[in-house]
Amino acid sequence: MVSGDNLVFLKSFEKIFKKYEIVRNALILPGKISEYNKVHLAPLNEFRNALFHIFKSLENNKNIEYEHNAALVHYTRAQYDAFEIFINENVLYINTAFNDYDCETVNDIFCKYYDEILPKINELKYSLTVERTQRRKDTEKATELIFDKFEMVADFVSEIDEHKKLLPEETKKRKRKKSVFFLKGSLLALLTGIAVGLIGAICYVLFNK
Amino acid sequence: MMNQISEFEKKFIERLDKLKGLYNEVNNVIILHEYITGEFYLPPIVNFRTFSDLMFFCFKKKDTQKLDIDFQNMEATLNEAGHGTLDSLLSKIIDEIDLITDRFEHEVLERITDNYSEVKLLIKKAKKYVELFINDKKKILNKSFIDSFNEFKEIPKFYDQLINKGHLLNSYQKERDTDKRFSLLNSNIHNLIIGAVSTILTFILINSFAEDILNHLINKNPVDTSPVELNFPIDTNSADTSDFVLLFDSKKDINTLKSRDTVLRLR
Repeated sequence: MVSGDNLVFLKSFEKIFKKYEIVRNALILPGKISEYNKVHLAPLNEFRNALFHIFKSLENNKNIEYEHNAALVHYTRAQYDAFEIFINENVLYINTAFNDYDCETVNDIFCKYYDEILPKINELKYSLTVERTQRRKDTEKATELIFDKFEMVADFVSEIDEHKKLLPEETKKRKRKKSVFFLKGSLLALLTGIAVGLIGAICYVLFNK
Repeated sequence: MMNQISEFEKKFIERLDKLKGLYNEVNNVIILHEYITGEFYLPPIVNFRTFSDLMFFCFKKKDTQKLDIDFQNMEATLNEAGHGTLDSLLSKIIDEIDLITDRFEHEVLERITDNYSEVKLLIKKAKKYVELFINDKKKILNKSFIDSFNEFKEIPKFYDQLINKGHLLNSYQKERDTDKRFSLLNSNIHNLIIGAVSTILTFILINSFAEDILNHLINKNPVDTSPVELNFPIDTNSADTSDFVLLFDSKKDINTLKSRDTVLRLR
């Protein structure tokens, strides 16, 4: 490579490097937030494509900038894919997060779940499909848009996780309350029965005299 | 704005440029794997991500002293990606090649590839490579991937030919079987004709030359001319000698008794 071309290469490689750091974090971040920490193919494939363009730029000095821009687009797509996968997986997680618990209990301790989170998540599902078509036209813009949604979902997930911790204790409390209530009722019925029986016996004795 | 390139940056580009060849070959084997198996093979893609991490981390550090070690690690990652993919590809192909080639004869397979014998040897080598990859992965990873890939390049090509020309193999085999049957039939007919001809010839020969042969054999043995002592009672004066002569009526017998004296003496 000619030294002048080295300069061109380094200049755009610096850009790619900055983008890569952001994208790499985007890939790691979902794993930190949610328990859904799997290796996903789509962003990795974009990494592969980006690397292909970086090496291609070393082959032809005239196309350095063109190839590096292509690599940038692939990294942006990787970022988009990482966010999209995170959202899709967590939409499912949010929807089924409280399936094991009583609706009333959930509503009592975390009413936001039914009032705000679930309606927003349903809206999000529809808007995601629209943004996916947008991605092809302007990847950068689509990634910015999806990042807002990613943040929103990430907030929801952390809120749900916090409240989920409270739920077993709350359920136990409710069960205890219910059993105390049942016991009290039974005792009251028993006492009432005894009392009625006693009064009846007394009345019988008195009237028979 | 950057106007000058540091020593690190210069070396970085140089070393990256050197890795270009290896990267291209690894990419080729991945594409080949996808093309032949129709599957997306994940491990080398994960290796590529690790490679990207190492590359950008090295660029971030800008440590000239550690540049060599970083690039050695990068090369090892690419090497691992390549070997892993090649191993997966070969292990999948070899089994299928064995299944197909077992059904056909060597000559039939040679009609698809001229160098089938070489490919057969290569497949044996590839089996050892796959075995070694399972038992001693480190030993394989220390080898150059490019060398291994170049060594076994013909196997995927052969497999591709087997798959694409597989429909021809059956007809080639049928043709060969028919040819074999015909040649067997031909040789049988040939043998039969030879047998018949030889029988007829022998018969004719014996018939026409038997007499001469016998004569020849007899002539070879000299006739005993010593006087014969007749033990049966013959009265030469009273007996009817014509009866006696009758014994020699046959020309043959007379010919054999060349000596006139003997006859006279008998008389």
